[in-house]
Amino acid sequence: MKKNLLQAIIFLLSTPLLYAEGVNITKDIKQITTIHKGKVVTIKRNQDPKHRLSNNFTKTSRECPPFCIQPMHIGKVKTVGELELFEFLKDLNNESKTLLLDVRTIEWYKSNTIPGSINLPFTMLEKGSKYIDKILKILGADKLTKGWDFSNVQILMIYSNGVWDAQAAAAIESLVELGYPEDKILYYRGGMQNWQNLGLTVK
Amino acid sequence: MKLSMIVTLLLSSSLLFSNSFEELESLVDEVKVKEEKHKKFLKDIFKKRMQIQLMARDALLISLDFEKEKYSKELLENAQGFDSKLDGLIQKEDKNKKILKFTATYQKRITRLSDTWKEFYQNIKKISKNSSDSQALEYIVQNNVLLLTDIDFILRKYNEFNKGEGSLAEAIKEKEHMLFLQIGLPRAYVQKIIKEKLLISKEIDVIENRENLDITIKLEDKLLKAFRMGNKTLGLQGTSDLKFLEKLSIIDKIWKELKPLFKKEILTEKEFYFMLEKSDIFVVKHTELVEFSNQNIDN
Repeated sequence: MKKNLLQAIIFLLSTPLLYAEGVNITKDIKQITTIHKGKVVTIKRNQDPKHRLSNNFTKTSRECPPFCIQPMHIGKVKTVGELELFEFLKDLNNESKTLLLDVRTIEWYKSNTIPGSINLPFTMLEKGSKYIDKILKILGADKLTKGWDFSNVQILMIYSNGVWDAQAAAAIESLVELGYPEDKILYYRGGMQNWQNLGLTVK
Repeated sequence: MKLSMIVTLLLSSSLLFSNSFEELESLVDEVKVKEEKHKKFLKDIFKKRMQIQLMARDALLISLDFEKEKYSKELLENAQGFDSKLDGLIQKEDKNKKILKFTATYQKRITRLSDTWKEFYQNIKKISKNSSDSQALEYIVQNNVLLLTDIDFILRKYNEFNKGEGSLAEAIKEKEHMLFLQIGLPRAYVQKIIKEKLLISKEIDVIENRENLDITIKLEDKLLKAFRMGNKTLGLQGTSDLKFLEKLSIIDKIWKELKPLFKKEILTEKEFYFMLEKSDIFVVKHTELVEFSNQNIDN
């Protein structure tokens, strides 16, 4: 009930606001609100124009493999940017059929993530994972005598660390291979790297 | 009427959303608990690796009649801690079917570790009561390396077991893992260096211990540099995390003070005290770095 009330509050708070100055999200939007782990969280950009990243997301050169540059498109899955993610967060607040998935391994998620997301490590979706059936059921798929019925599944927006990280691509490929409809998956390719480059709130 | 309908719809849809969200969260929590157990097992092993060096160091200090009371107390406390945790570790792993899949060699090593430790513990009790018990000291000096070798073997096998067949998941996990596996080593190296210095001063296997001392100092240098700059052979990526680097700078500073003393053949009493005091500070500060690192993934 508490959660439902929080979501109702968010519904009211999520209307765009007009701001003349400052580091805004867009010309018309300064901040948006969502729920993260049961608490209302405001997402905005870091307001300090001199702010620089100080964590490992300042790094330019990671060993490839495994940290290789990812393609723009994965099959027919739609690739999206930040603005689409904000719209998705609004839907997340209002609808039952959407999930923002951070598919990085647990340690990454613990260190920082996008507010409103839930961690589903891509390793749990890999071929042979004992969790696949449970996950698909939670996502709304119905098990048939042969295969799965995906007609009622959730719309997923999936991300990992960004263009240099294959975890999101691996999760998407696994889901598609399992039969998850490509039009029910969105790929935020910029991931945590872009999110933090823009000084957006992390949790 | 219209508004109440909207609110009802909003709340009912939120309820559906909450359910799948929570179900997924609790499923992932199951996996988290398993991973935490795995990490705890490794952390216990790392701690044991350092405790062995520390116990050998303390036994040597006692045998030199150096602050006997203080180091006897510390020695016994460390030994008791090691003893209770080792039993727990072995029993826990015996219950774990996966570990039991290991070969007989693994089981033999576990048995040898357990047997060596029992004898080791008895000798620790002896030397803490009687600082001139040369037989007890000899056992500790001769067997601390054997204990370390067996612990490292278990650690290696445990990691090999948890390693997959080169999938992306394993490659990424390995990257995450390399720092986790090595971050605590400098603490153990500092204790090892002091132990080797004490062995030299007691004229025990002087040539071998001088060589070991040089090697350990170089390893410490290499490792501390690798945390910052990365090192391919050590599998470390280096870091640009300013908070991590800030903590590492404190360690580097202490290391720079300690290193000349570690290299110096004969120390004055003042230098000797300073070395012990600084090495304790090194361990405390390095533990802070380890804890920070374990909470913040670094790649």
